[in-house]
Amino acid sequence: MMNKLGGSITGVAAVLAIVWLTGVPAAAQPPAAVSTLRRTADGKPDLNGIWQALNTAAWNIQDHSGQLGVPPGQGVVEGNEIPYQPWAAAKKQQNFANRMTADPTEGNCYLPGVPRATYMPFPFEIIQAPSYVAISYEFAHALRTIALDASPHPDGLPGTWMGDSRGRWEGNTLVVDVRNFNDETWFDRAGNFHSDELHVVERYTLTDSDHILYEAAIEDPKVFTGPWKISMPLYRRVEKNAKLLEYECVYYLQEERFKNAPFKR
Amino acid sequence: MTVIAIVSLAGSVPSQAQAPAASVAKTADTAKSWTPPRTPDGQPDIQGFYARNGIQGLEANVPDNPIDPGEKNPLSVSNRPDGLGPYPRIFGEGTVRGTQPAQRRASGIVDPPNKILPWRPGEDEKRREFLSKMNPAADLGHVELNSRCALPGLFVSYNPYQILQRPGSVVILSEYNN
Repeated sequence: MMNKLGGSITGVAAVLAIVWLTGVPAAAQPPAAVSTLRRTADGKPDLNGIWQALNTAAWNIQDHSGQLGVPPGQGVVEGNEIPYQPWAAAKKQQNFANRMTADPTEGNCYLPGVPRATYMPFPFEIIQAPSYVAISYEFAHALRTIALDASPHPDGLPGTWMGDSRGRWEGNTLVVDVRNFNDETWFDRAGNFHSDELHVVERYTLTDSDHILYEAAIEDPKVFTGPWKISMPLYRRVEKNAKLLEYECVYYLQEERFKNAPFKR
Repeated sequence: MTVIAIVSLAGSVPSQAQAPAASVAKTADTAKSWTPPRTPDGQPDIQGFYARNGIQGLEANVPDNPIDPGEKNPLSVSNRPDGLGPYPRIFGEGTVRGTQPAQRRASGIVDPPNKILPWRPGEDEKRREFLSKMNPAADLGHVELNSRCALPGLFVSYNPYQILQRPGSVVILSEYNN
């Protein structure tokens, strides 16, 4: 379990291990009866809380063997195959070869994008209000605000790392349509990538009080030959003192890169 | 980067009970003509986007400081080619300081009336020593935290904020460094 989580959250690994060992994976569970779901005052499933994925998708969203510092893992891509166009498959391999320095997120501290932010080995908090849902991620303080007012995506704005999110409720599922990305994030540490035409449709379904079934449908006509999908359970962080802490990625990166710099007086 | 502040409302003291007398009087006048919206649980609804436009810095009328690197040495707000300025070139484009006099005079301090921070002598000396070693930076510890994309503290950045409310807590989301 410690290897699954990686060194960055070693301090809480023991607690998380207890959760993992005692809980049944949410994806294997049927959704809770509608009447038993915790709900907000306006009757929506209550997603408020701190959540975290417990898998190895941050390293590689596909099936992969272990390597030094990389825990082996079962992929989160349905069918395991990503339908790259030929040129894109070659670029993915190039990204993989250069991943230690080229990974925009873990190598350079850029925002992780969507859906990667969801399965980074860091927790995130969902803040649910009637007209907005906000998701605050511990990694680099990434933030998304998701308008629930049926407003359209803006036109003409430059692409962003985290995209523009617009949400709606479909029964007990929060559906979030995300567009307006730039092409500067990867899906994982293994170099799986996209272009600025990425379109992600996420589905957050509360299956019981402590589990969310997370699904993300992905399409990008510049890079892929067709749509594909990932899914995974998300686990509520149930520690009494659970909270997001500060992960100052850029600050730490500077410490590393400038530690031997010839500073002047 | 995003600063997210979640303010628990459990056991909190009503803000009106802590307001200065002058503010209370002004608030009372305003309240006669305006009824604030309420959340479903009866709290004043302060949700929305806010910004502190017009406030350039804490202190007003700060005299030109010979050791103020921002005013005297443009290298402090630009990317030095060797990457050793307060704004290492790989970490951004630097920022634009307020250059208009009116912008520089605006102050966020309401007390003391002279809007000058009451530095303890020893602390002011530390500040000045820090400034003297930050351009070029003597070491990584003398690179401005702001330049290193460290969290700025509450309500320091110029970027807007969004306030969300849910039962039991108020959430303040900051655009800065997100």
